[in-house]
Order: sequence, then C-alpha cells, then structure tokens
Amino acid sequence: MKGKFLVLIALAVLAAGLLAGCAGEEGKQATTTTPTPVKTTTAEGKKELKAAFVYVSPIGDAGWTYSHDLGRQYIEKVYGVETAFADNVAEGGDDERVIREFAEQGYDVIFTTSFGFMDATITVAEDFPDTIFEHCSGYKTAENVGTYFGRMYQARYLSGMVAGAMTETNKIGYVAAVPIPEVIRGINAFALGVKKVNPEAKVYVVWTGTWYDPGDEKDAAISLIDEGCDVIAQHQDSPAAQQAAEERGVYSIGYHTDMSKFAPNAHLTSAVWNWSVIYSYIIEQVMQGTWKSEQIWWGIDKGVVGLAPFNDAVPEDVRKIVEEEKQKYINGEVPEQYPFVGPIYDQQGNLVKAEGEVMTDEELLSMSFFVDNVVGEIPAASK
Amino acid sequence: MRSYLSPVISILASLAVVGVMLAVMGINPLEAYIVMFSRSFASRFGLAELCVKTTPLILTGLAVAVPLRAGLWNIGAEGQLYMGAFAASVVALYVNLPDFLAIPSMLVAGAIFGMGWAAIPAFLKAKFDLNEIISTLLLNYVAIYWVEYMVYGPMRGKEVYNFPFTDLFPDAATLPRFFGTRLHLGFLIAILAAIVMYHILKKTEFGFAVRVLGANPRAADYAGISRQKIIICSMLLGGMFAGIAGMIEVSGIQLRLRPAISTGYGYAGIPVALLASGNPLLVLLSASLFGFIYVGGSALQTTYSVPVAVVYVFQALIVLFIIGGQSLRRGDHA
Repeated sequence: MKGKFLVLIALAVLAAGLLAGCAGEEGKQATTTTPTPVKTTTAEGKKELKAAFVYVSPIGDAGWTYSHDLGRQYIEKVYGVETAFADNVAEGGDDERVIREFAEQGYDVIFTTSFGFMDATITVAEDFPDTIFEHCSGYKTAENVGTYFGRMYQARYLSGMVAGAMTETNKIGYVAAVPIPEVIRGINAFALGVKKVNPEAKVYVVWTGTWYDPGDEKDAAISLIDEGCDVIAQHQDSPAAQQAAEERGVYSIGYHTDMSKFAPNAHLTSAVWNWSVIYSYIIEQVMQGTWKSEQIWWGIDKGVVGLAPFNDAVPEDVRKIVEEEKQKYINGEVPEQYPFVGPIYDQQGNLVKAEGEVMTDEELLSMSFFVDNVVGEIPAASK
Repeated sequence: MRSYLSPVISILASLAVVGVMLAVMGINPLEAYIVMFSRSFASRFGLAELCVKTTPLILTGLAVAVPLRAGLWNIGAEGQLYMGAFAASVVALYVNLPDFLAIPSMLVAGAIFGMGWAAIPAFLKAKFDLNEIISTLLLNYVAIYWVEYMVYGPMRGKEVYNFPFTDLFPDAATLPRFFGTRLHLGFLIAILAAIVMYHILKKTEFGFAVRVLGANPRAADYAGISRQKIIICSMLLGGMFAGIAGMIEVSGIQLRLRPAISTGYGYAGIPVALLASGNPLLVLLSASLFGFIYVGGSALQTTYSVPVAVVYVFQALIVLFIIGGQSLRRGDHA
C-alpha cells in the first residue's frame, strides 16, 4: 500500500515534468536570447557570431581553464562575439551531452579545451556539419573540426634558463602534475633551459598525480625546498607551489598565467598562455568565411606562449640571454622544435637525438622519457 | 499519510530555495526550471541523456539499497564500479572471443569483480564485525588507484599518444545504441536488474531473511537466520550491481578505460537508495530524479553560463532537503 502510493506520487511528479517540458518548448524559443546579455554587432554588420567554450575544470583565478577563459573574454570584447561556457565538464561521460547542447542551441563555433574531449567533439561534429568545432591539444580532425595548441615548451625552455641562472644550490624543484606527454615535454624543455646556462644544475621532479590539489602541491614544493632546492617550478592549476616558495624565501617559476600576485617576492617569471592570439585568428577566419579545418600548433613567435614580466631580482645579463634565445625563435634561427635538437641524452645516458637532429612533432606529442639532468621517474611509463 | 508526501515536499522546498539563489544571480528561476525540464524531457536527445545518466545511478542505487535492507552501509559502490569497469575492459581488449560472446563475458567479468571487491568488507564484517562503512569507503581509493595504475602503465593504449587511456574497445565490445542517441542497452539491463531484485527481496526466502535482519537483528537470530550468510550475500549482490554499472559505463559510454570513469556515481547511489528507502522499484524513480538533476544541471550551465559551483550547490541542496525530509519522517514514527 505504502509502496504504491509513493509510486503514484512520483509518477505524478514525472508527468508534471513532462507537461512542463512540452509547455517549455515554446517558452524556450521565446527566451533563448535573454540569458546572455551582451549583444553587439560587428562594424561591417556581418552576422553575429556565437561561440561556446567547454572547460574541463572550474575557471577559478589561475590555471589552464582560467587562461582559456581570458581568451574567451578577449574575443567577446574585441570581436563582439556572443560567448557561453560550461566549466568542470567530465571527460568521456558528460562532455558529449554538453557539446551537443551547445551545437543544438546554434552556436557557430564550439571550442573544447581538453585532450579528453577529443572523441566527443568528433562524434558531435558528425551530427552538426554546419557547426565549426575547435579542439585544443588533440590530433583527430574532420572537415568541420580543427585543432589548436601552443608550443608551451618554448616558454618552458626560456623559464628554465632563468631558473638555471638564479639557483645557488644547483638544485631546482619541479612540482609535476600528471605524467602525460605535455607535462613531460614541459619538464624536459625546462631542464634543457637550465642546462643551457648551468650544466651543473639538476631538476628534481615530484609528482602530485593531480591537476588541482593545493594541499598536495604545497607539500610537494616544501619537500623539494627541504631537500635543498632554491627555485621551484610547477605545472598545476593552483599557485600553491608559488606560495610555498614565498613562505620559505626561495624563488619560483609560475605557469599558465602570470602568478606574481600570489608570490611577489619568490616569483621570477611564469611560462604563460595567451590563447587570445589563436582565438582571434579562428574567429577572424570564421567571420571572413575563410575558416577551414587546420591543425594549429603555434609558438612564441606568434605570441601564443611567452614569459610573464620578470621579478626585479632577475639581473640584466640573465634577461639579456633569455631575450636573445627568444629572438632566435622569432627570427627563425632555430626550428620550432627547439630546444629538442640533438644532442639529447636520456637519464640513462643514451643518445636520443644525435647532434643536429631535430625531434619530430610526433615525437614531441608522445614524449615519455626524461632528459639527463632531470632527477626523478615517470610513474608507470610504458616503453 | 502526510509522511508519504515528504519526498515531494523536499523537492519543492529545494526548488524554492535554489530559485531564490538563481534570482539573486539575475536568472529568472521559473525560466531556468523550464529550461531544465525541457532539455531533459522534451527532446529525443534530452530523454536519451536522462536515461544514460540514470543507468549507472539505478545500479549503484541497488548496490547500496540491497545491503541497506539488511542493515549494512555499502559506501564502496564507487570502488566496486571501478573494479567492474577494469575487469570488463580487460576482457574487451585482451580476450579473444567470438563477437556474440564479448558483451556477455564482459558483463559476467564486471559482475564478478564488483562482487569480489565487496567480498572483502563483507567477509571482514561477517567474521570479525569490522565496521563496513570504513572498509568499503577505504577500498574505493584502492580500486580507483588500481585503475589509474593500469591505464598509466600496462593497459595504456598504443594509439593514445601516451595519454592515460586504453585504446578504444572493438565494436563487438560496445553496447548497442538506439535511436541515433547515446541511449544504450545498459539502460534496459539496469531496469531489469531492479525488477528482478524487487522480486527477490519480496518473494524469496532470502529476501525475507534480508528484511528481517535489517529490521531487527535479534529477531533474525530467533528465527534461525544466519547473520553471516545474509551479510555476505547482500554485500555480494550490492557489489555485483556496482560492478555491472562499471561494465556498462565503459562499454556503453566511455568505450575505453580511463582514470576518471565515474563522476561519483557510487557515492550518488547512497542518497538514491535512501530516497527509495531501499526499495528496488523506487530506486528506478529516485535514480531518474538524480539523473534529471545532473542533466538539468548541465542545461543550466550551457544556457546561462553559470559557474559549475552553482549547479553543485543546487544538487547538494536537493539532496540535503530530501535526506532531511526522510529523517523527519523517520522521526514521526519513532
């Protein structure tokens, strides 16, 4: 008796929901334009663009998603694009629904900003051939799906030079996130930068296994400082490692966006993303009707990656050599893959790339070894 | 009679509180609720997504509900789900089977590993009276890290650029989908599981023993019911459902194994089971409600670009109101 009654009530709720849903269809049509307040028309009076962003983590005030959201705000302001976003979308499960919802709502361009969104992006794109999809950091494309990424290792390399020049103990700590190629590539580029200016120094890596866990990141940084590291670099989305360095009076190198405000004394510079460069390019292509599926992987010469302003503690001669190296990219004196140009040795002393040989993009994208001045292991790395 | 209304009142109350919250953020709450409903019910894709999200919740709801009826707290559905997903993935990727045997074998493997993972706390509880809340909870972490270890190491795919994923499952190892949506066979399996479990609890001797033990352990002793046997059997059944949930999640939705295959389905199974008072048929309804909260929540995100925190607060408030309402109701009877 009791059970039946509950079932009846629940069914009534469901029925009410269905009715509301049907009624809502018309209501929705009428109201879809109200939620997003910004409405601007481009100077040429072209069709107003709508762009949606799917983020893997909460936006917060630092980190990967935050850097993408700065790019979103930029194109909204500069191009008058109407934008929307959904943050903290789970890869492999909820992503397909969220991407599809944006496509159904008529967004012209949908940016999916995590590697794990790759399959879902491709799947939804098949059903919406007139919608443009842009997937960050993946390798699958389609006629209406392009990919984009930045050669962050170039900025990592330059920031490694700063660290190598500033260390006195010749021990540099690196709080690493999750052992995927992007993170490993960043560590290696950083270490090659250290080696360039200071062949004696070593980079000590500690993994947290997480993208965002301020507690663990801080503990990892402190353990590195206790071991004698006097410069701390990091990969995670929070500035916890910077704050640990600030508290302990050592130097730090930030990542994603300028982290100086979290550690004004410790922070030497950050390797930063400037996604607005790529987003502007893509939006312009779409507006001009010249968009086509591309695999964009731009570097420091285009300004997608770069260094945040230096701390006053960084002496003039260090700034000068870093600037010189940076100019090499801009002037095309070195290949885009630089510093991954031989001779490169792995931790066991094996020659990975002979003198003058350049690593291919494919090799960079699937990197799974450490260079010889890195101390630490890659967890469960498959060879 | 009024106590039966408590879930409905709880839901309405939480809608009202969240409505105030939305209004403060400059969003018309009525319009927002219409968006949530229409996205979940008024389109083919919305309905399919509702079912997709409800499927694992039904199974993890059962995973908690069955032991709950015997007076046990299974906080370990999350870990059991991961172990089920792991076993199913191993079968999908490494065992050579005729196509028609792939899915059944994965289902059996998932069920057995889910059961096996629940067997540890079940045995410890039956034999040494070790608190099952602690043991099931802690084993979750072991299972999650086990899957992580496997996908970073031995099971890492060849076509994934060294990312921590396995390769995609072969077609024969993926659940059939319907109507051009993500709705898959797993939904039917979950419903069937709930119906069968309902009858087992209601009609069989075992079901009777479970209910007696849950209602009054001493009465169970007098009735000659073996506590140990019921503890172990109900926990194993629970683990089996969670293991099946894991198998369905990888072969129906993810199509490969990766580190985070569950967005907390195992934990969400607890309020799902509580709201249903451990009744398997009501689990179908409470799981749908939670599925709706998830799907509607992401509709709010994509429509209003509200930060995800708002959606979480919304979901948490609904759960709080519902559980609060439940305990008030229990208070009525005490």
